Amino acid sequence: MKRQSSLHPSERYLPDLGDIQTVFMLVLFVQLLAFVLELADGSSTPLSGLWSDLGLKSIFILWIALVSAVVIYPMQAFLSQCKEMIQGLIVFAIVQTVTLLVSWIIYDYMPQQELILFTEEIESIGEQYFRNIAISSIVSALLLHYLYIQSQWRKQVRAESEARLDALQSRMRPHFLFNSLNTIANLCRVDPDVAEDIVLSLAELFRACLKSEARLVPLIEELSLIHQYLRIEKQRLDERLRFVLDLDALPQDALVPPFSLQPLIENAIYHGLELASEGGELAVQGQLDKDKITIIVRNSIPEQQTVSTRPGNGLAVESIRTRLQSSFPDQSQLFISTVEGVYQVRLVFPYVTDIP
Amino acid sequence: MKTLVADDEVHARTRIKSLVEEIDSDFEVVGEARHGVEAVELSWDLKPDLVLLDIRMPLLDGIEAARELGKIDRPPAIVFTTAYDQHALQAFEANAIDYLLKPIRKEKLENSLRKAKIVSQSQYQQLSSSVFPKPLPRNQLCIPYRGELKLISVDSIFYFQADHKYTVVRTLEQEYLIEESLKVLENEFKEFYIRIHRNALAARKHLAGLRKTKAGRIFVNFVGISDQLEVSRRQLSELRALLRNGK
Repeated sequence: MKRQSSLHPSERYLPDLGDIQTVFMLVLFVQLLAFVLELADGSSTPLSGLWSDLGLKSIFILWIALVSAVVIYPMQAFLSQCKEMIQGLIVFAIVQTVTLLVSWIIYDYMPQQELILFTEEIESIGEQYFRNIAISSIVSALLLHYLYIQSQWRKQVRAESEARLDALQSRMRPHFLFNSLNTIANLCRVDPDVAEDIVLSLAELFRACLKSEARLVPLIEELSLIHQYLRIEKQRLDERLRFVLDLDALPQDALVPPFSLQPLIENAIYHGLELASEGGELAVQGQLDKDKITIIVRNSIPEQQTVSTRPGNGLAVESIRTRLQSSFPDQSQLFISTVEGVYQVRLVFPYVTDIP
Repeated sequence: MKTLVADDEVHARTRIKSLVEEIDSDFEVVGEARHGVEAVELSWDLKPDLVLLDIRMPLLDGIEAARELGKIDRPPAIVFTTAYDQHALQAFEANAIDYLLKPIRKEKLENSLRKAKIVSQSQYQQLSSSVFPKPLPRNQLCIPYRGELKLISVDSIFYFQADHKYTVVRTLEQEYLIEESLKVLENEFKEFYIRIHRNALAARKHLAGLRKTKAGRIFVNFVGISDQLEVSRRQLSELRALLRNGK
């Protein structure tokens, strides 16, 4: 999907290390960690070298943090193209390698050069390595997880606000409005009763358009919209619109994002039936399997395509996909296929009756 | 004045028809077309003076139908009708031909009809030939053939070959003659056709390979038909490169 490739910076998993604020936060984090480690280590008291111990711990952790940052910095552009899982693993591996390296410098290399940073007796160097790696693994894993959750949360917030905007924009083409009004204009002369009926259907559709601030609506409302919509289009297209609805299997209390079906029907008519000289077939079918709802919209494809009737850019479908995804994260799917002159959109989403 | 109403919706046609007849008894609706092809074919038969043409129609849209209508000897005056079509409006807004927005107001239609009476045929002819810039290459060619308007998908054409004042259009089943010149076609379909000779354009997607005769002349083959067309020296290297790079 287009949207994912153009992530907003604040939605990236790893923060930008070139940003001074990020570096500051990193240093602050290191200081806090050093404090915690020092406080947990009961062997020193404020009188017996707590401050110098703290200083040494800070320097040690700061080395690890800053060297890791320097290594990761030039890789940022590459990392941002990887999956989040991969990004996390790479960063984790770098931090562990740097921890080992810094430990080696302090425990092995510097004493050889007669630079002894840690004056206290070290029981066994092996144990010290193990302890450092363990602390660094736990802390970096926690930090990476925190960053992940934060980026997911930001993404979710944006997806929801976009979904809301999409929902507003995708509701019915102006084309539909004006064509319906034109139909009504003629019906007023030739058949006022039908004209009245169509006006009422149109009113209901527009009421739904204006109303649905709700994030989710009962499926029965969506199905009723489809009926109203088809009633109007049938009047307009007459025998060119041939449709079969098989929706009885659907639970009416299931919740769906508003306008998640009507645009599919509208597309089917606009791109499919309306442009075939003899019209075409539209089929809407709904199934419930355990707690999964599947709705399939099929339409025949016109025999000829003129310049002005080339397929649209699928805005409506993308919008439905986004809205389903934002309402049912990782539980909804939308498939499009074209087989033997039939265009098919298949929606799959969970049967939910309570707003989570 | 003989008037033809072209619209794919029955309610739209009925309404326009009754409005036209109410406004001016000079205007007589002589036919109704349900799509662009029918509009062109009926115009050949009925020779209307005015065509009220919907833009979004099956088979052939109003804009393309108008282009075909412009080729008739005494072309009808054209008034477009549309419910809502931003792009189409832009396409002809710059030009003087009238258009009406549906649902159509009676007074607006009255104005258009008055204009149609005043504007002489020749003026309309000039307009209709200059009106339509081609924003996109066509997907299909409209070819009059034995009293019908055939729609030939550009994809299905193997080659265009100049033949005196006509151009031969070769499809799998049939050859058609059209009046458009190779140069015009080459400009429009550059992306899909390659010039292989002074007198021919070949569809890139249908090319099979080259064959050299003993005399040293080079011919190109197509997938699916046995026709062979001569390739000129000048075009040879470009054609070779194309075949080598998988079209």
